[in-house]
Amino acid sequence: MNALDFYALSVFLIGLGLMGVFLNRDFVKILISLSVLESGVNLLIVSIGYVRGRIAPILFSKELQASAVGKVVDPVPQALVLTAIVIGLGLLAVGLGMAVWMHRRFGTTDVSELKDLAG
Amino acid sequence: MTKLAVYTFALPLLAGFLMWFVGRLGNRPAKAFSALTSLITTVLAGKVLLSLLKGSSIVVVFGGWRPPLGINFFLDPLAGLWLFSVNVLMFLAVIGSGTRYSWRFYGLLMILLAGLNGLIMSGDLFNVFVFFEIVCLVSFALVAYYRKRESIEAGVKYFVLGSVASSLFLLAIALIYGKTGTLNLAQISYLSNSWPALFKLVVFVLILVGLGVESGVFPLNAWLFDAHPAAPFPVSALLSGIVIESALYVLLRLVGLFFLDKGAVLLVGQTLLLLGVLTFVVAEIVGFYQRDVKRALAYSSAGQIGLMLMAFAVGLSRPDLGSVALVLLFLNHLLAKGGLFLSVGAVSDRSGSRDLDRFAEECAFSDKVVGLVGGLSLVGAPPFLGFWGKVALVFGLLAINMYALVGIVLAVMVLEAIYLMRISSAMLTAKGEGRQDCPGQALSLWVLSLLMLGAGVLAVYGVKKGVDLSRLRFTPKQEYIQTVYDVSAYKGGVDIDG
Repeated sequence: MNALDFYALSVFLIGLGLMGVFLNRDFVKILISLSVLESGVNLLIVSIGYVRGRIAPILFSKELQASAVGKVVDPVPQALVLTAIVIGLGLLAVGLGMAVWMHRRFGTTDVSELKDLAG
Repeated sequence: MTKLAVYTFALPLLAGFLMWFVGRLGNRPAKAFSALTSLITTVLAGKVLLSLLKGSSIVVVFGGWRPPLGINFFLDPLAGLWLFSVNVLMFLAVIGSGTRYSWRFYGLLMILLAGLNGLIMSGDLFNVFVFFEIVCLVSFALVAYYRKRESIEAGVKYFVLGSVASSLFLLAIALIYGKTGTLNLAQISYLSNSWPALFKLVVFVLILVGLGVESGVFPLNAWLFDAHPAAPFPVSALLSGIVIESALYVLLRLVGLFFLDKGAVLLVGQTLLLLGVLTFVVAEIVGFYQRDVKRALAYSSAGQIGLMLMAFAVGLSRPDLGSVALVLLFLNHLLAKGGLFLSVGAVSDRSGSRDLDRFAEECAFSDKVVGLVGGLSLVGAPPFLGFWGKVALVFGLLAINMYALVGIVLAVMVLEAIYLMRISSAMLTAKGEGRQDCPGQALSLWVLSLLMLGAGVLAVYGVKKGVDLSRLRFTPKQEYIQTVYDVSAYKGGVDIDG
């Protein structure tokens, strides 16, 4: 795969995630769609820093450290994505916690049942 | 000296996690601990603000890597003022929160404070995202704190909107990084001159949506009106007083740095002006018909955000009037709405009803004072900050020849005045005698009333004495880049590692 394929895939995932968020009515499915959306964005970030034929920016040998610039892919996006994945995990945890409480209070995870506060 | 700025972020974060241990001692020690922490950060932020008002902007560099390679904080006088106000309101909200919240609540508040302080100071786009996520996550949890039906409903709505928005913001960051290869705000700002129009438009929309949800810009603010009434009252005060404002601050900072070159400034200005007017008008008209007092106050918050957006847009062509209006409206809203939520929220909790006719039964004397002073200040009665802010905004609108807008804005302001005065008068005429949980509640309300009364007088006195309010503005692009890049800035700034 080259970089363009990654871009196409990430655009597809972002679109899928957005559609899922807006078309689903079940909160758990919305959470899944949010994860797909986040994965799409994360994939985009990594593929931005991807250079074909280069290796991961882990400089384990002295020899590699000396000549890393031409050999490794851009390390910044990978660092960003690690952070973004962790943040996404936190979001998902809070969201699932809310889903549990929603089920306890409303007896369902269907967001169209959330209409106490209409107005 | 300027190193202090970092501790306003680091201390509350540490306190938030230490709360796990402090909480073992009970809820009261937890409250005292968070009050102490926010008092310390308030003092630190006050010192930072004083040094900013005297001298130049501060760039704090981390890890010995100079920007644009490394990560930095950037503080101009406006950032200093914002930082200080946020810490003040957090301290007062902790003091005024009563005795019924657990240590977990205070832990979350401390992490919220850390996120907000970082958000205001950050000079790195990805750090902005991280701090923004901290703020979002903590607010989701705080809104759903009671786990009642309405809090879960509000929390779920807020969660879905907020998460989609932050994903879109991350998408904008990815696109910007792909284009420029950097995350440093100054360097992006420098490189943004050569962005093609289409790219600029896409990124602008993504950032506007991404940060607009949290800052309550129409039509993305639907969560706000459910979240404010459902949240515990100190959280409503904080959400309304500082969270949505700080999101707006970041939005305006990014817009100012990335999108204001000569070709786009007019279009951006008009877009923001239009959004501001829509936010203001729609929110105030709907707010007028609310019976639920906390919900009515939430609508008024969205309205004030609209006014601030308008002030920023005006400031693009008339910096003198616009930036002054923005600062005054921000301070006014922070004090008045913070105070109103702290009093109205506590009173309606005690009375067991949020209905306009019945919420005020358990009013204490300090609640009545804040009800009156805060209401008048928010409406824009003459001695208060709100008056000067609205005057500056109206003159600014006149100066850019938006006569029709002035008419609309003034008419809607009357509407806002009517429903806010209904709340104030309900509190003033309440017969019952309310008992506050602890003396801290009365203390925080008194402090807020004094600040509201004092600030308007102080501002007028200060301007007469020659204090230059116009220094409290978003540092323009060129100057921002210069300050961050300028080597001499490091003499004023601090290198954390030496």
